[in-house]
Amino acid sequence: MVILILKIYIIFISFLTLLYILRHLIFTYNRAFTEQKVAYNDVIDSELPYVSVLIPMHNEEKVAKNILEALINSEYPKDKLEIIPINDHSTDKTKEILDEYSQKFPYIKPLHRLEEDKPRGKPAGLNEALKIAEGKIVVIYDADYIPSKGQIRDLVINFLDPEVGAVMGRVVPLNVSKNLLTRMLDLERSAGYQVDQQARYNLDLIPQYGGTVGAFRKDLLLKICKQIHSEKTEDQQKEYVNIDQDSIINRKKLVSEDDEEKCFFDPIVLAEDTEITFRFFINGYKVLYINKAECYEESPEDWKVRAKQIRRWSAGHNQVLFKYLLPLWKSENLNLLQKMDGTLLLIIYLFPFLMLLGIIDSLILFFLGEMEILSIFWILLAILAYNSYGNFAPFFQIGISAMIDGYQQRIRLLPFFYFIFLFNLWYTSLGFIDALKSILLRKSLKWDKTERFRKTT
Amino acid sequence: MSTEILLLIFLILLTFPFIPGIIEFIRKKDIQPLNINLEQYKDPAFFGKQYKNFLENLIGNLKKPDKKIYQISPNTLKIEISKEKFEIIKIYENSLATDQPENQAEEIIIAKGENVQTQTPIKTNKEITIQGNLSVNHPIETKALLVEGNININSNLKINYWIHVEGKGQINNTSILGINAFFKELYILSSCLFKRIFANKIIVGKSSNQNESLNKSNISIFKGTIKAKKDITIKTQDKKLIIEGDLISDKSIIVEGDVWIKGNIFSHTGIVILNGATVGEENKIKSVIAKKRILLINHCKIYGYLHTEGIGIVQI
Repeated sequence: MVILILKIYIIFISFLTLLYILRHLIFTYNRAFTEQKVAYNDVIDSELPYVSVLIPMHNEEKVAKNILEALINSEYPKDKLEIIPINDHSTDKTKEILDEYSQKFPYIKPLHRLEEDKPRGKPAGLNEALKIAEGKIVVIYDADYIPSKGQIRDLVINFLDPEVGAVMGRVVPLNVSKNLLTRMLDLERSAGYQVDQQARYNLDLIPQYGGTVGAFRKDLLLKICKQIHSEKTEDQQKEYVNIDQDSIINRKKLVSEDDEEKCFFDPIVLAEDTEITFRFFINGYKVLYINKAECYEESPEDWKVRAKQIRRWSAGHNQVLFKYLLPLWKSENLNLLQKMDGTLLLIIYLFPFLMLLGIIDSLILFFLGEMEILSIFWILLAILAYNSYGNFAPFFQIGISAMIDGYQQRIRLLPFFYFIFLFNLWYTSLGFIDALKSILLRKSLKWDKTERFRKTT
Repeated sequence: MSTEILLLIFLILLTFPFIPGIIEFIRKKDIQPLNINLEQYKDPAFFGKQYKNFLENLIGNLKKPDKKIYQISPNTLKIEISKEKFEIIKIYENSLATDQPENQAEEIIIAKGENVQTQTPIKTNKEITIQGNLSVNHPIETKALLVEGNININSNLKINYWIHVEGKGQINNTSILGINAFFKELYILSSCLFKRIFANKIIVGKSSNQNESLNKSNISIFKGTIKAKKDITIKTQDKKLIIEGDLISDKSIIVEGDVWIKGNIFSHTGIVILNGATVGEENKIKSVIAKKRILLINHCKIYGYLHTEGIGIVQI
């Protein structure tokens, strides 16, 4: 019986792997050979909305000046812009830097969160900042990012479409040349954005809001949450969307101030970006991906830092999986393909854990002499699946993205993705276990900030 | 075959896929980040501004003692940019003419004067700069045209890349406006082709009086954005329709008659605006964006920006 279960699991994991391969093959084909969908970036409109730019910061003295200077240099009208750097319990010179800039530039309004009793972490910091942010549109950058002069406009202009809940730009690593890790992360990022995100946008699937180099509608986030609260309270309204404005106003009093703060981002969930992606899609709004809105970031230069980062991403993403898988399938605002893509996106950080179990499973079966699973066909299937995905991640996707970006030589590093795969397999699995623990024990996870490597300027 | 040799072959085959990667890792041939221009932002006057800067630097350099300048003819200068690169500047006063009618000139042309007029047809692969107003009375084909005053196009004008007019423009003869056209105001009275046009006011055909229309008692106002996955057609005959919002469609959009769209129009395929329709309003900038085609027929007004990746046609 046990052996049968182990064999069924091998078949299951092979199928799941093939499903992912098929998904990424479709994405690659779509990006390489079909017409690309354009967003609203070419629109020039003199009536731009008031925008709040939020920058979560925790001990960011190495990078704070760079991002503030880049935002000061932005061509977005300053009378329609406020910049709120969120100083989240920094113990270095972040506070002094922010205060210095706020004195010179009145539209820079730092939020210092220094009280010990305040909850730490990006979602908690964003929630507090969102309470004071005056912009209808909120743009978020991590502190290590360097936006171009026109990027805020490039992101914000897309909100002329009332169906757009959030917009995501492209992340480009700046410190590529540092070491093998940064070079590999550069290829990974390139594939993830240039091919994966763009294809999902082309195919009207689920492009992801990534929590930085992105923007969203503040009022919409609040509205959706209030609708959910109202539903829970009154148990009357079955549809999340299409509620007239008056009924929303009437229901406002049902939501307490504490609830309102939680309405923005769930402070327990580490992946606030993935959470709002699904919150918007489930409720009938879209996330647009803007490939042109490119922004430099700093990649981790140290394997330990990368391990922490990917473990945190995995934990957060899996928290969202537990929270949103059922609502995704219940949603009447999504079609079957979107639900399938959404599911594959939700389980993407669970998949390495399942694969790890699959590898262990195959080893057990091998040593028990039970590798004959149905027929040789299944073995071939498993090998094909593993070679396509397991060795080099979706190598074809990385290859096409490098080609589109005009990279010539770095594509030769592709075989090293085997080691990245093993690395990701382990730390992503740990992240899944973290998320599982947080759900079962009802405990919040600790937010581990990614260490910066830039030299202070 | 001995075990040692088999093991060696195995190890060679195992490391074989990594060899190109190891070479690249050591030689570091391709380690630069993807280039992002941090100074870049959407500016319809980009080409004109850039070229003006280039010209100012070039002419400013004339005063530098280390610059090598050769006077080829009374109105022609040859300026050394670098050891291999030269620029030839031809300067005219009050008129614009070339020695040969079908001149494939490789020189930058600058014409000075309050009202410059063409004297002969001109065909050049370089830029033409007019420091004043320009009347195009003979056919011109050029890479780019920069006019610091107004332009009156009475003969065929073919722009291959961009045209930048700091004053008003009036098109009275069939023209091709290249990839990017910038005007302060533009009056189109003859058919033309374009890809991108920016002007505070673009009047196509004979202007209809908007205020007169507003006085009509029969006005319908729609507030909000209209978005559809299918074609959108908005057409009126007897009454005026005002849409205070944007029009967005995955398919084509047709706006015809006494319709005033106060917002932007965006289509993934084509847009047709005709017979009196207006987009945007005075002192504001709005856009008409279509991926494949924009067609402006008879008379219409656009306050702002027209952009298509395909072809833009004005039919009068």
